[in-house]
Amino acid sequence: MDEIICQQCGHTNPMDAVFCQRCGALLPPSRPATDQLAPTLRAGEEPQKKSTSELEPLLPAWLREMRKGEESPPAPKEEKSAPPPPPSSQPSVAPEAEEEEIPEWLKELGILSSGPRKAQSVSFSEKEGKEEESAAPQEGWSKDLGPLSAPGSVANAFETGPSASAEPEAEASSMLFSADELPAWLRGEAQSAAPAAEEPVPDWLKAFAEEPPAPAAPAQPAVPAAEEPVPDWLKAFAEEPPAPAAPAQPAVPAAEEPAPDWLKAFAEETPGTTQASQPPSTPAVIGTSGAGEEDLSSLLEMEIPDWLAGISAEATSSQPAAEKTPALEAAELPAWVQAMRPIEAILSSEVEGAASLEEEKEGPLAGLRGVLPRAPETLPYIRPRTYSVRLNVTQDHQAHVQLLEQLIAAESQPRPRQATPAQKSGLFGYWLIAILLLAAILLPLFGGTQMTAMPALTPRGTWQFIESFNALPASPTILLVLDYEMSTSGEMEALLLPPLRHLTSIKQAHLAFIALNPLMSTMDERLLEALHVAQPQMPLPESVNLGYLPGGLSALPLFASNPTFAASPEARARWERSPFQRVKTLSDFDCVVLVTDNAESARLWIEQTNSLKYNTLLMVSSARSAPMLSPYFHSGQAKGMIAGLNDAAAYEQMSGLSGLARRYRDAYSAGLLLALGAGGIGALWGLLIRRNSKPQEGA
Amino acid sequence: MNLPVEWLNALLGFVLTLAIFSYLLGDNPLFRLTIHLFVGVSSGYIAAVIFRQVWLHQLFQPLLNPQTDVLLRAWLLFSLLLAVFLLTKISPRLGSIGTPAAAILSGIAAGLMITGAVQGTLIPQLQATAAAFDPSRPLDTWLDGLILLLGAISTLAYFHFGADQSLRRRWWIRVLASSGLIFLGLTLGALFAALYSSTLTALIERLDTLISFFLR
Repeated sequence: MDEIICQQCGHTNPMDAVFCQRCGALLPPSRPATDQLAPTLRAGEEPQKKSTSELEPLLPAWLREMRKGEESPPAPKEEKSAPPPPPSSQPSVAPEAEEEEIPEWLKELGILSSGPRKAQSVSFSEKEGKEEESAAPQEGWSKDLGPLSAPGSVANAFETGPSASAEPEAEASSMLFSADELPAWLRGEAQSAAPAAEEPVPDWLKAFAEEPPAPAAPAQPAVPAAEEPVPDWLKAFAEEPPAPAAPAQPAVPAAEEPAPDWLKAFAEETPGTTQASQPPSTPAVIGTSGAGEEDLSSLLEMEIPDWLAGISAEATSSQPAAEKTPALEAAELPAWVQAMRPIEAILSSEVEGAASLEEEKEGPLAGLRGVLPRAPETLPYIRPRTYSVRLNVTQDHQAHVQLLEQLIAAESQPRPRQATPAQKSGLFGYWLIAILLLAAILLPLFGGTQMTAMPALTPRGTWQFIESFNALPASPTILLVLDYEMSTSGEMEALLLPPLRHLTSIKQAHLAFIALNPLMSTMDERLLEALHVAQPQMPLPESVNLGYLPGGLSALPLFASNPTFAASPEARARWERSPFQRVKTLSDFDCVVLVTDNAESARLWIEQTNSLKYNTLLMVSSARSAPMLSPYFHSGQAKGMIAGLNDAAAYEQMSGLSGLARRYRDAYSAGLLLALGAGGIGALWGLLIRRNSKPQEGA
Repeated sequence: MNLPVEWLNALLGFVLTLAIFSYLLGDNPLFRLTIHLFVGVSSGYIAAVIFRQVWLHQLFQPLLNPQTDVLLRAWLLFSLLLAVFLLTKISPRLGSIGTPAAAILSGIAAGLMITGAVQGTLIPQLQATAAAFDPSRPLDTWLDGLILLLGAISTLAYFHFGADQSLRRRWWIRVLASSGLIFLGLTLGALFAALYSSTLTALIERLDTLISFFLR
């Protein structure tokens, strides 16, 4: 198996890769060939019993011997050490490890050659980093230490923590060290471990206890060294020159032999000297401690072991203590042991090697190289996991999609419109009504008939209109407000001509024109021409055209206060020369006639000019706007009103003046009758169609 | 000389009227040509009228007249400036410049319209409706007033869409709404009849013009 598959994204990575090349996730450790037969047991999986007999030849010799030894009863010594130690105080001997026979290399590591073991443990603890240092016990550990001649117990005390008692520590010491091997002082310490904590602490130890427990962590890594075979990473580590190992070694031999004199003297030194010999006891620590270099030199001048004598202060980091001890054999570990290695062990060797060359810049480890494992400074960016968004489209889905596409396409295609019989009949009726209407209008006009009688009753508005004119003084000033469209000019002229004839022929009125619509600005000429045609014998009245009133709504109040403000200079000059020169405001007119076909503009005129303030407002309205303007007549705001051709005919009849209303009346009546007839026939036709369609619907 | 011009005017009116009536045959180029001609001539005429009566007579002549009062001249200049600002509304980028002028126009129009509506329509109409029930008035006036009042209330009730807990109108609102529906139908019928009457009169006048052209 030359590749590693990422458990996050499934990407295939080369065997030596640590991180996934695609997502950057941490890859599982590369396994040996034997591990291919034994898959990794993951969380949540139940272990399955498998035959591992084929792997027996792959086991190391010591493990095979150990497996053979399982068949024989365990040694009585191990049974004595069976009581489970406290987890924190006995990390070096795991329960599983106690049941098995400790291999030779472990014996050497843990018991016989405690010096190298201690060196490894100390150096490894420094590799663990500062996190474990901070997690180390902060209080009371120095009291459990005892004399510095028991470095093994120092290491255990570091691992014990504040909750650890001295009794399990003593038991652990008894398991690792025989009583004969211990020095006298340590022997007594081990026998009275519990009361040792209660004994008065010497002064130097008190000072030691007050020191920051930063170097407590280095003893923790002794756990894996004692409970399982040395893995590859540990072997490599043992071969490396652990920088802090050398300073810590002076404490290690004390665990297996009586403390040398130099150490005894050292123990009797001041607390400051004690601090210099603390487990990390790195040059940085010494430098930063309270002890001076003279104390250190005096300490080094003491009797030191041979293995330590060759270590100079400068070569501490370059001469690992492990080189002086017999190297451990490289153990072939089973897969499950490799899988239990700490995460640092599976880091690539390149990364670890590169990190080991880095020098610590600050802190108690300043100046040391390779004491802490380093991960890459910048961890690779872990891309988020990509999820597939592809739809699982089945054939049914595709069929539905095709059906929907066909429906949409059918909607966009034009469909030929087929004429129905009803549409044909509607087109026929359309043409029939048009022909009948034209005939009904043209025949009376061509014939010049006057068959239709004039209105017998005069509408109230028309009657009041005439009465208002009759009430005007002689030669009144009349303002005609023209507010209609060109399309209704035929109707409006038919409505306006009788009053104009009345005003000019009877009252000799003076006319002023103002247009609210630009198209009406010159309509005065057309009206006067029509008036001249209607009564050619009468002279045209004096008139002034004020033109178009711009501004619409906003200009009406201003016009009411000054009717000539919008007039042209010519119109103003004419205004001043005419009888209108006395007219200064709208109320100075004798009468105002609003000629309109627009109910909205007529309403604005009435509202903005405040028609109640001036004398007389009369309205000539188209039939289309009459229903909306009649309330202003009924409310008294307008004194009279002519609305539609019928009112104009009534006006002509009442005033005795002929006009267009009489001429149009036959055609108008015919058109109204035709409309009524067509509406009635259409209503009956609709009822018949509905009546015939109901049985069909019922069927 | 006047006769040919009048005759040409009458002939042109006759042809254009027939072109408009050609819409009876459906939409056709002749009808469209006449419509475009009418719109174009109307626009040109309106522009000429406004330029002459507004820009020339109301603005430029007073501004260029040395006898014009300084205050009036400043006021006219301000009006001209606002008018120029309004022209910037053509450009979307510069349209915001004309916003103050448009705001002035809208504000003035709104104020005038509200005041005029209250003083010129609302109050006089209320007074007229109340006067219909004057005891001194004849009976027919009372009848007119009652019909007017019933029509107004029932029509308003028709447009009342409130409902009770059963999601139905109250019974008296339903009765009034039914009456209002009748009044609405009568009103719309009257409006249609008035519109037809007006249109019929215009048609008669146009046909009479054509007949007069032939008989002339």
